[in-house]
Amino acid sequence: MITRRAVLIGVPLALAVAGEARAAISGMAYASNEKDNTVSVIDLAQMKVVKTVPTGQRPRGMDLTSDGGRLLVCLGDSNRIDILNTKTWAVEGSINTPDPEYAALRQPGNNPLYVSNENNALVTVWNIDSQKMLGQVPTGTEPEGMAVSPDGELICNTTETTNMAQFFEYPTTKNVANVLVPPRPRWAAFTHDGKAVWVSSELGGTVTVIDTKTFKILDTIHFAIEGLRSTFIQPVGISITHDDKLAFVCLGPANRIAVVSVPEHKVLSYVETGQKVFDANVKKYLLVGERPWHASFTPDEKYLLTANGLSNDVSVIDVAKLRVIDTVPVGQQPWMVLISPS
Amino acid sequence: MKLVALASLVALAGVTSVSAAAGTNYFAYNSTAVTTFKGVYLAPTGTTHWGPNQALNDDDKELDFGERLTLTGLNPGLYDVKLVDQKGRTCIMHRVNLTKETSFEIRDTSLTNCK
Repeated sequence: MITRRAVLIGVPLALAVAGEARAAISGMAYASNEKDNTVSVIDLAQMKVVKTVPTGQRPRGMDLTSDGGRLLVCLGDSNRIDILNTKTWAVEGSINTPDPEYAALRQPGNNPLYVSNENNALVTVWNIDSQKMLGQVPTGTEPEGMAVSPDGELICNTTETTNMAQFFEYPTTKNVANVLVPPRPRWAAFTHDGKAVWVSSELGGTVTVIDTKTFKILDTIHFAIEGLRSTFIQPVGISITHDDKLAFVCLGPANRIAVVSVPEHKVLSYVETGQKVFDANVKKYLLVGERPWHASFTPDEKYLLTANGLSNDVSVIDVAKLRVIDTVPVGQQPWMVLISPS
Repeated sequence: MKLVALASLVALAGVTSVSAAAGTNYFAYNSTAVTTFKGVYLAPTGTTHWGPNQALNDDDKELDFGERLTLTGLNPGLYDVKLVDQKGRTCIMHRVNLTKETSFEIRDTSLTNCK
């Protein structure tokens, strides 16, 4: 369901950007709507929702198989992860696991799947074809972010209450390091060269850069936005370009995405998802895109889409111009957005 | 006398609607930017029959920002919600509709009447 607010904001904005040149985009994006119990399917060519898929209860974390053919949706209140066929939207299988919040597939090969079971202080490991559990690993309290290194050899989990980034080896799941980070670590993202992992701390307001060989902290990135109280800056999702030059960090209630130089660990600028857009029809400024928590690039990395949990929409950022060029209304409380690789 | 009896019944019904266990799960989303609540109380709209502190349902006994709280012992209906933040300020949200919806959101704009 689209709220009235989302419609009122989305329509004028769409009018405002209708004339703006935009390179052709193809493919599909998927937004998990935590409150609606749905996944919105966005056709990127039309930049609109073309299908709303009902799911189990409380869809949040998602991952895609490498061919984009299967979407895995964590359903926290249904205590399972559904594997959806992205052509037919049929449920091809389900993994029954308590309170899954995030899940990450090991690549290449789409297996195994690592799942953070938030209320059980566990990471569980699954084969997605047989839907059988391969193992489980105890973690700190409230495991959250899950990430697998590009070579598939190292797994990182963040624990929200014990403030750690925990590292496990593949395939033994032996715990090889625990790194203390600022409060409420929510997300981990490996650089594409595999040399570092970036961990966001929602309450700490920072991103910690950790060396994946020595597990030493290389840097702690702080954010400051003029005119905004620091407590509003709550980093969560991190998206890193494939050339490891830029990282885009979702700052939650700050309604902004920070653009950070990956080699220098330095903030270059901030993109407002709540960007002021002049609309010739209504003659006023509009704010869109509240509380972005996660983002994903289009395959060519020309665009970045953010899931905005409080404004019930997805912002489309032109990566070269570093500005919001479109907004797509989706369901209630979008948590994550993923984009099909093809 | 009849009026008093009727009022008593209405009040009793209000108390019952908060305390009666129900099968449906209800939720409160704390969508404020930075406010944590140590008290979340519901009463049938127009009454002050506040139910138990629902914040105690959370693992750390508080409803943090960005967090969702499970509300227990509710029946469908209209409720007033009393919120107590960490500084002890109290805010009231009026006429929260849990008739069709099974959840409500607390936003920064909900906190304009805090005392």
